[in-house]
Amino acid sequence: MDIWESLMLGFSVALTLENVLMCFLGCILGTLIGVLPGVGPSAGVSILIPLTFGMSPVTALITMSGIYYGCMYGGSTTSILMNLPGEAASVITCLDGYQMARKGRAGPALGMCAISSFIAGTIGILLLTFLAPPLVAAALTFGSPEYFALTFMGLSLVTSLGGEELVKGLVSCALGLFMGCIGIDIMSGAARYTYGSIHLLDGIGFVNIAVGLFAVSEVLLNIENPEKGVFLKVKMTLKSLFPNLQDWKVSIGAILRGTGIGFAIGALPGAGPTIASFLSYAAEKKLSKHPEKFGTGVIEAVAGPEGANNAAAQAAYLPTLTLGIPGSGVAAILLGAFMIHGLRPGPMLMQTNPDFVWGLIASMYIGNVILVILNLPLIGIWVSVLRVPYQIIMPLIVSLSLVGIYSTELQVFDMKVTLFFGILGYFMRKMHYPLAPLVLAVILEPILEKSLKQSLIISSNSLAIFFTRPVSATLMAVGFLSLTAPLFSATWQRLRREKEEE
Amino acid sequence: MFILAPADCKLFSKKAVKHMKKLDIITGILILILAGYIIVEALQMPKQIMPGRASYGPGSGFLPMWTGIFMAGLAIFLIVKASLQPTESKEKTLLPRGKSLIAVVLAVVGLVAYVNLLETLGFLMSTFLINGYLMFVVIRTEWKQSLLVSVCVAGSLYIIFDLLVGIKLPVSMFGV
Repeated sequence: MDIWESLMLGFSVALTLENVLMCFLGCILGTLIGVLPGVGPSAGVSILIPLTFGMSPVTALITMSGIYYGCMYGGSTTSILMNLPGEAASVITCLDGYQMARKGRAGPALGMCAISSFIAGTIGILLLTFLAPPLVAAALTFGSPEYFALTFMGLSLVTSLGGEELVKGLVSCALGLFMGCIGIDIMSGAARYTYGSIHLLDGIGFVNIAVGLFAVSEVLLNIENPEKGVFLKVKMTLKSLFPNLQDWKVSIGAILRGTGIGFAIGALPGAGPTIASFLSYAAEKKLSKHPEKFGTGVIEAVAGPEGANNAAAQAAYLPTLTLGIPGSGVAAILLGAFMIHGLRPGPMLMQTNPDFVWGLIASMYIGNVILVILNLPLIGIWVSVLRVPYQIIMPLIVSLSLVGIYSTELQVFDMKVTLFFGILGYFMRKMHYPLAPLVLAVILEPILEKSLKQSLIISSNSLAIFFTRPVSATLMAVGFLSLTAPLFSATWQRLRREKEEE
Repeated sequence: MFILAPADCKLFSKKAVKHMKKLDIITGILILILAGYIIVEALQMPKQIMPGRASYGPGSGFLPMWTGIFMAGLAIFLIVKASLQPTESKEKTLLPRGKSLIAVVLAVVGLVAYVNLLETLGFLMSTFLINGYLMFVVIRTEWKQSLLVSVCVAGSLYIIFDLLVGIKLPVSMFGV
């Protein structure tokens, strides 16, 4: 089946009434979650997983995907109007977006965010469409050593790119690997760290971990330190949302560069939209003829990063769907959702469930159109949502999280586990331990352990197998390089500084 | 890969990492204890899938043991690094103090109570109580707003999960 036939299959799946409605619902929820500070896409997607249990796998993933890229659209609204990011990837939009709003240019800023997101999202989905099949073809030649090397590389990248301190990221990753070991070892059948508890025989559910770490800990952080932004009153008309010709002249290059940066970064396992948006901002500032104006309200500083974060969100699906390695923290949660719905992520997924994969990709085209409509003419609705005080949203988040967890297996034990991870997540965030490596490690541990043991059986317990096969050796090298790069970089900077001082 | 290293990017600069000398040492010790526990338990697990047959591959304790060793090494590194950092006289603590600490502790206590009383009091009553508690006691919202929101949240979640989705939520001994 060639790409066009696959895409037509995908549209035939995505364009059913049920799937279009659920895509629409996902986009609305995603925009809402993005608009509201205090709930990020990770928390939003993980809280809503239990509600998708009654749906077919493709409908469930279409809904959750709508939430994910919907957040990328919605997150800029609070950044621009309140100087408070709706989610992490919109932090950088606060710098210039809010300044534009203070100068009376909130409309063009919001409009440019939506248009930039649409262009970048569309290009990102097109790239995903054409790059996925060849990547799957390459991945089908992978054996156990390549899979181990791939999971090692994924964990290394998310650890080295995702946090401020590498060592703390590694601790988080190791903690996640330990969590993944709890339960029955699939190869030997032995129970590990269960102490006779029947609840732990199946291991700790990743949904419990994700909801606790992202949603419950976020509530505790906001209870401790309620965020208060100054709401800028702006008059919203459809005409006021469109940028002028000068805005387009300076922004189109930024949007295209942001798309390229976003897709390249987003396709790296673990990198994610946040890093993509920061790098896009840095690139635009470096390329600008007036870098000193960045931070005072320049539109290209909004257009580039917003395009980058959307392109990265689409690109995160590339390793997730083709290799079974999540491209971002949210993609890791979506990967877990795949498994809950009985799908085995990896290169075989495109062969065994082409309707699912292509239906999901086709739904992204539909979702992108829905989102630009929601975020342009209907922006006034989201602006009014911002006026809802956090005191009203917070109880809903907590109750929805815990009830959603209860609904998975009707056990209070799961709620206790979620609460435990909520408190752990709170302390981890306070102490600057990143959360994404832990979640990713929990999800990847079964693949990592199984491929490691199989490789050692093949090689008679020799680790050289990972370094003698070309693909495996390359992936291991990338993984080691990502872990040692900060050390080299710091040393290089110190040597350069010493040379300048001389 | 160099341009992507956090040390290069000013946006991940040192100013974003506050000195947390004491807290880093304490967490390092806790991680070391956890690592020790993981290793001790792993050593008691079978070394090989089939005893006496190394060619059948490592046993169930292999990955936990090496994870524990790795974690112990990281913990020692953290403790040593934190110990060698100079103490700043104006060290800003990241843990909450005063009203913030009380709010967080109260929230945690309330949530623990909620989870433990859910099956005794039933979903509607316990959810109403926890929402009212969080809003009125923890966040100090006005009582009318707290009451209204608590009723709406408990009621709407019951309608969505129990009536629409069909998940049987816990009921109290009074049948509600």
